[in-house]
Amino acid sequence: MRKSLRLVLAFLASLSSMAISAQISSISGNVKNRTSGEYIAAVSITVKGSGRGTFTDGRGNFKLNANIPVPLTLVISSIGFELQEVQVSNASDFVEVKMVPASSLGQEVVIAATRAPSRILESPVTIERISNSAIRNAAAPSYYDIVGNIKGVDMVTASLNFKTPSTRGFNGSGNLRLNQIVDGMDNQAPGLNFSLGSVIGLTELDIESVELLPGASSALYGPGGMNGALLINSKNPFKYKGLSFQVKTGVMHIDNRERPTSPYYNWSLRWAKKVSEKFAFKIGGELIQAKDWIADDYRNYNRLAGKVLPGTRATDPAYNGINTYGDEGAYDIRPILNSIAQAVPFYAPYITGLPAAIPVSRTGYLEKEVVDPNTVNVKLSGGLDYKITANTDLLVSGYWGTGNTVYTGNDRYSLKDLKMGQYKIELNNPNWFIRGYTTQENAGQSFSVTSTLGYFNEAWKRTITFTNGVPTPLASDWLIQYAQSFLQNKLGGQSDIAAHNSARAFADQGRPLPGSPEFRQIFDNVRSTPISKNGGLFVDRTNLYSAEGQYNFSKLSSKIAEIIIGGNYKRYVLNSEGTIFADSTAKIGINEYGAYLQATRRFMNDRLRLILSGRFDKNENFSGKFTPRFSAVIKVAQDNFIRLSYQSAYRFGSTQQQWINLKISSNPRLLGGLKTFQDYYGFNTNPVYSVDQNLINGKPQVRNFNKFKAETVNSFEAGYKGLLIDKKLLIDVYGYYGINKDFIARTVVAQSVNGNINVFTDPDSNIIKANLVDPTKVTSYSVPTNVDGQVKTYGFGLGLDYSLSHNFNINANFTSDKLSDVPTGFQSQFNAPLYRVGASLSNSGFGFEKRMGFNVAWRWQDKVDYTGDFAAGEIPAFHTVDGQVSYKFPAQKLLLKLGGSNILNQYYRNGFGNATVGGLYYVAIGYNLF
Amino acid sequence: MKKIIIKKMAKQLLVIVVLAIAFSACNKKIPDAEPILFPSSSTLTIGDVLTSDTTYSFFKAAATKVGAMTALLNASNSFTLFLPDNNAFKASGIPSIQVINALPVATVFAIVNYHLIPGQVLPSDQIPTKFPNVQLPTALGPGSNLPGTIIPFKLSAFPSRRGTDFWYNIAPGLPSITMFSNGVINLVSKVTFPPSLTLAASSGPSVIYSDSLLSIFRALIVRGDSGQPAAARIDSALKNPGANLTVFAPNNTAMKQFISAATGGLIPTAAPDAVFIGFISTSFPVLNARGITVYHILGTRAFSVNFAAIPAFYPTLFNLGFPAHPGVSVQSFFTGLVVDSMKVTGFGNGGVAATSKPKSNFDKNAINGVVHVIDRVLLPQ
Repeated sequence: MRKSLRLVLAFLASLSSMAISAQISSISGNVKNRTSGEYIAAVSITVKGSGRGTFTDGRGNFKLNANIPVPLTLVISSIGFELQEVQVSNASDFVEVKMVPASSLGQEVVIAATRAPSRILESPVTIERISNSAIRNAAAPSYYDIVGNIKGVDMVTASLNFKTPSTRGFNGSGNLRLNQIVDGMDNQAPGLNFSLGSVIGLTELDIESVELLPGASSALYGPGGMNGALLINSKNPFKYKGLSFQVKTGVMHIDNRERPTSPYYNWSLRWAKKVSEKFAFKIGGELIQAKDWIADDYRNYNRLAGKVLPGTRATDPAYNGINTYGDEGAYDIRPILNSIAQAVPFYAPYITGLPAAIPVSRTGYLEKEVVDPNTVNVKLSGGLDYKITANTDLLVSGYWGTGNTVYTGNDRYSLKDLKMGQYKIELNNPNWFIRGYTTQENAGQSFSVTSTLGYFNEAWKRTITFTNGVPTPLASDWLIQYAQSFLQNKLGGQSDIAAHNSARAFADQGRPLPGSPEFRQIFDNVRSTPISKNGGLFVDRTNLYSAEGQYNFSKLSSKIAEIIIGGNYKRYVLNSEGTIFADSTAKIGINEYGAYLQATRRFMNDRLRLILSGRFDKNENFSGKFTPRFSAVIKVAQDNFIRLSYQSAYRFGSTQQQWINLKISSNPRLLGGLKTFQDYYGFNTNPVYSVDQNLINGKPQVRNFNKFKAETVNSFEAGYKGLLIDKKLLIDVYGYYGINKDFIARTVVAQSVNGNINVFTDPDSNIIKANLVDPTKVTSYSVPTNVDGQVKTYGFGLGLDYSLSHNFNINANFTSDKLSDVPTGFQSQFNAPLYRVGASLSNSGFGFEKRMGFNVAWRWQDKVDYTGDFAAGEIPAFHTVDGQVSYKFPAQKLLLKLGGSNILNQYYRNGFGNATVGGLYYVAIGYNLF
Repeated sequence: MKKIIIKKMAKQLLVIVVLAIAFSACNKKIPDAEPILFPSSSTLTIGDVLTSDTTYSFFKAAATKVGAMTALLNASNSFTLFLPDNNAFKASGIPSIQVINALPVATVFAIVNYHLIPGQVLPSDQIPTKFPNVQLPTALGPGSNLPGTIIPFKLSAFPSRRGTDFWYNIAPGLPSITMFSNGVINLVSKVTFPPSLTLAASSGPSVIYSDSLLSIFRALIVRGDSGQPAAARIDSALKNPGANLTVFAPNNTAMKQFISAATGGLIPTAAPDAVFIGFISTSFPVLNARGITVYHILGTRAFSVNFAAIPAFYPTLFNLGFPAHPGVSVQSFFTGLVVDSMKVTGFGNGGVAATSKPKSNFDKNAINGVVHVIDRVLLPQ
């Protein structure tokens, strides 16, 4: 490894020396805003007709070393300003340029829609873009929050630093159906199966743009893009140079609702240097630290039925709070009472008179009592850019992050000391690229909160003692104490619930109080013990290795069509030491490869553009999949385009959906969908039964599983984007219709431990329910499977952007997503509101020397019938407002910002069982922000 | 001009902010856990009605005397109270509150708590009709726990029902059910006094062994136990406070007639009790003694009111060895809900029934069973 590193460095050094030895001539200059007089950074300066160029630095200065004799023409361009051409007749003249601000509506260049640059107006599919200036002026405290304000985007906030966006439904924390691609690298943690863009992605100061493709996007970006692709691109060190930093300090929990008022820190730094015309580098870092939002939904929840129930700890003995942990299992004390009745016959009739099943749960702990309140996120990044030729760059970059945060999957997971690095080497040319990268994941000390608290309770007092798998109750067991005390209390004249509460108090004697040294000692011990050994720790060092390349044949094929061909190869190496995957004996490799082609042909003098794309992918555990995309862009008038498309996308089961083998506390054992698991657990010899109403009614139905397939979506979309009213109004409207097939969803099945169907056929449904949660009688599994039938989705969106005078901008959007034809009993996890509305008013420069700015963004979303692997229920509709005011100090290149998200501190949840989000207020000072 | 523009902008901003606040201000409250409500048909407690209804003033005085009102006023408790009203007290020999107040606290404590079934709500119309009754613990206990547990030992009571009629042990019920927030009151027409003795005891008083009129039957029991391990002895069962038996105990007259006949008159019925006891203890066949003894015992507690008004067979402990045996025939003679006498016929008695009367001879309640004294030995074959 060290030897390889030396070779690379030597190679880079030799290239640098070559660059220095070249003959150069130099043109210097400076670019300012004609209206405000402030310097403009990152303005593109190119020599017309040569491809040679440079960018202005933070003070608007540029120096262009061009081996081209004067006179020449410089083309000066920057988004938000009118393009200018300047004649240079003497190389020694200092070129001073004053750029005229112009509306940038519709003029931004996007790449994601076609893998080739085009104006956003002309995109063949719906696309959204957040520019670096939008990030700079946004009120939201992080760029991920800004994504949440894009039209049609839903965001699930698992915690302050773990936010998951999605579009057109099927939303959820760690959404698997939206690809997040950072500088060309899939940002998904390969073992944990969620994208880590908000945790371990780019630092805020290094983001050049964020492009979002809502809807199906597999045709270009491969498996997974069922509901879109989010492409985050970093800043080029040649273009964005110098030192930048931002210190953002804020405050959260201002009303002490769940936690005392606490500070929020977000410090970021970026330094980029152009060492020569050929070599530049950048480094960056970001630190976020705060006391996290808390998932504090303490409603009673029936995990088997997947619904909220009435009840509290004090009123339901089997209470299982959504965000309380350790109370998941329900143990029936009836068998213990029956054994008492058998030993003491004169109490038998009395005991018989008690309810047929008396399920009780252990006493749980609140999330805020067990999860580290400190959420920390440290990101480090660096990149080298060496121009091998004028148009070909060698890029070497690395992104590394670590932190503590909370994620919601099938459980709440405390991601503690999670580390993930992405390292890339790439050769990049306007016509082609080839890149290799790896994602190195280390779950650190991360643990399942449910599992940890389940075993924690067992550690301080066993529920029931088992010897060699057989219950051998002891008088000191929690359940025995509970049952005896319950009977004692009943005989003392207490009502059922009073007897339960007294029994709980008795059995809970010695229960460690949260925060006590005893609690900490047991808790730390359990959370650091692997799940496979009755702890909460999941060991995960799964890695991904990927290689991909693309060539744009347009120069060769332009007479016929502009053709792009690409392909990729991925290898996942699962490594959880048996704590997540069935890899206790050896690592598991999964190979996946694919290839794509896109052809674009322009007709009628560019008034019609047809684009045909197709992609084939194969995963070794799934049949190959072909996904086509047809799109057309019709220019109906200058700056007015209609777009039509048919897109398809698919998703192979995630690595966990393929290979997981995880038992968390009393929850059903999570299995992968591969047939090998069904064989191993003997589904063929000891049948499994669907856990449904039939089973509860004593009529169990055998559940057979078909071959595990990829899920697919075919989507039709029509849209219009255009500039009206003297190019001041940008309208974007779209409608789509999607057909989803072979949905991958988990289903719970039950299997008799002894192969005896009688445990499911008792005439008393309460007995069957009790058997279902009795591990000595029934084993339950959660198995991913493809849902029969098709599910339809459709929706529309309307976005209006209006540039008012004096740098005011007003934006409004209205979107809708709907699901239909849902098969009975199918949990779709659609999780999108029927309607959502957003509006914002901003100004990028007003007042004294146009130094002031502000932005107010309001968002409302309809209620959501949310379903997730962790919990399901209704999320009420909510409004939220973000806002900021800013003041620039141009001479010092400083920007002072006072802002906040959810500034009215109206708490809301956007994911069921996830964090409750309140107001965050900050003051930020930034230096050299561009 | 600049000022005007800024003012205009400020107004626009103000409008937006006000609108945003107006919209956002109407966010619904974050849903919170809802407690399960345990609705009751009444807001009153049992204690409340005892306090307010003067027809229960005797019981209220008793409950007050022993400090039971606190529990009965507590809405989070749950009781079934078989409540003797004032007339029931009078009918049971307690004519006034003054008499109650004059009684020892322990006696009153026992009376009050023996009428309470703790932790269960059992309206009289839901009392099981299965023979003979349902054994339920009362609030009365000796203060000790079941061995090795924290479960208290409680004396049992035996509600029973036939159609709309019900009894608390043998106290007839009155047709009234009133539900309260902490339980139910079933009215009864007599006070039921808790038992204080077991059927048998090694020392000290007991219902059978202390009764000099049953001394020969006791000898028969002991003889039948000869050679049996302790756990299998009838004597042990009769002494076990956890047992629950019905004993048709032939009095000494009946035993003398039986032994005299069995010896062909060698022992005249006029002989002293001791002669019969001596004979049984030394000469009566053990197997016969055991067979006859177990034929006099039912494996459950049946009061006179639990037997039907028409003759019917009931299994005895004899059936444990001979399951096909029809058992013993019993008939109760009712006046209203009160039994005046009983007839008990052994399968081998040739149709000649034993009788149990007067009332003082049957329903002798013990901690672990009930004794009906009969005037003839029952023969299984």
